[in-house]
Amino acid sequence: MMGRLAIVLIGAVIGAVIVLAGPQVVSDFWVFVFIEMLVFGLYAVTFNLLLGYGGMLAFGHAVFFGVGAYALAILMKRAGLDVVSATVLAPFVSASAGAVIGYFCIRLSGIYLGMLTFAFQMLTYTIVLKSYDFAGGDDGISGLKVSGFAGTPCGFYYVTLAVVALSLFALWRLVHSPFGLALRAQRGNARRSMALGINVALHRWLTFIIAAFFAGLAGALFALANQSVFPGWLNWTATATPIVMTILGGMHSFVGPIVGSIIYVLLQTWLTGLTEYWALFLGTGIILIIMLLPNGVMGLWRSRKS
Amino acid sequence: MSDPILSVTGLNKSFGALRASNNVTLEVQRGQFHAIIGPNGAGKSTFFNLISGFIKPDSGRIRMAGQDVTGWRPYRLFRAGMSRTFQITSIVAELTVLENLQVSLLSYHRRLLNVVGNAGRMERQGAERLLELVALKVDLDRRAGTLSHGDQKKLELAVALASEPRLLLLDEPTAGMAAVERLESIRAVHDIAKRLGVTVVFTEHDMEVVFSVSDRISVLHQGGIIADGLPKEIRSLPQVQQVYLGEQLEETKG
Repeated sequence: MMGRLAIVLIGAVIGAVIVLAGPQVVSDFWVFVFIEMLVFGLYAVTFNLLLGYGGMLAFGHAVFFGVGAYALAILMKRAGLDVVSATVLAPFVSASAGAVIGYFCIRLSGIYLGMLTFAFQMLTYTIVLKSYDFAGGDDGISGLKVSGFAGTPCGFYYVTLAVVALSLFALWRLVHSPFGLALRAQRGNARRSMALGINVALHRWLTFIIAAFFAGLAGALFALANQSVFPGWLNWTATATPIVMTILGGMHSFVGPIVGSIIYVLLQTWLTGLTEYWALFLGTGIILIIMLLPNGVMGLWRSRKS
Repeated sequence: MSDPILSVTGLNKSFGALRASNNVTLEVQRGQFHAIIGPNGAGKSTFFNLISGFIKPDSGRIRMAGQDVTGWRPYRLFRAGMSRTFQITSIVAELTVLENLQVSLLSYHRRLLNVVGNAGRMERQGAERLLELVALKVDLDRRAGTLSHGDQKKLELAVALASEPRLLLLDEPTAGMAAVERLESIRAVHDIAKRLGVTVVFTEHDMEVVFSVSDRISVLHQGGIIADGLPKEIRSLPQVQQVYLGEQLEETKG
């Protein structure tokens, strides 16, 4: 027990120092890597809210990330909103997408639910690609400038850190709340849950909306970090990112997807610097981790605990 | 006799050519321990699923305490005071004993849309009271799926009682138990129900169990009610004996 507590304490201190002071000492490139880890950590947690807690494999979860990113870009560039208003509104746009898509998806389960979310993702991708005037077509939308304190990479990092930390805190409360308990209950046994008064359809639908809200927020932050949005974020190749992160870190824990995001982004960054065949090595590495750690990295931690 | 807790009139349900429920009309009086018997395939499970809102009837009416609840979905019936158990024991295996009880209690208290509270600290006393009620002595933090079959049955009963139901439906409460355990188990359920004043409707295969605790018995056969009365009336009916004799013969054959 003592050993475990010590590991947690030392880890927390080192983690806090890296998270808070790290961006001050590293290059802008690495600041961007840090931002990516945070944003994708949040994104993967929203994916796992649906999968790990709700039992819903939202294969096309990237649609919410993409809609959030595009909502921000369109609100800024087409509607002329300032960056703060656009960032605040974007998650509501993706949540609305979650309400519509979720409405159709909650009635299905397993791979059928997954494929329907994926169909919505590809539909959105096609719309974005064909709409040059509005969504920029295959060029995307660029020039999403942030000014003031958040205008520097470091400043933007701290803003992102604050927003992601607050979002993760809200989601952490959610999964431990009565709502979260009912969500896990319906995943484990839908029939029992209905018989004990859970409105399973409503519960699943609300979960979709919440997951879409925070996934959209992650998308909006990522758009700002890149100062642009690209249709590739909605393409089928973007589908795997949150799934792989979640499986890498472990879907049976809240922090699993965050750990998965850190590993994924680090591996990707490191390998792209080493070889142009980085995708081959990244894929091999992920397969190895999944084969050796079927419950993800956090699964290793859990088995140590018990 | 004029104020039944459950009143079913002309209930029909077909699955393709199969009439799983054939013009079922039935009244259950308050406080009774009411058995629904019938051979395999008689439509007992369909009847249960119809009353508890898991399937919708093609026609007919279901009233609970005078209120028309036809077509209500399960969660709504739960809130109106109906609880049920399943033939195949149905608890949430990956949640702990405590969490299974908490989710039911929180549901009953309409707190499931609370998104910020710490569920782990809620309803602990209520959960302990329920375990005491069904005489289940296990570690609250144990995963429900690791309990023995009998203990899972008790937990399911406790979960069903969390809502202080007026009407409790038990689908084969002694299924999967050894013959010697069955009587003891149903008597325990009977005592709890009488103590709480809960009306119980249950299905059961074991005739010894049925006749030892029932206040009233209805016999289902091929989707329809063929007899309804006191245990001693039912026991002496030739058609019931015939149906059950046939059943027993088939069972020994199989």
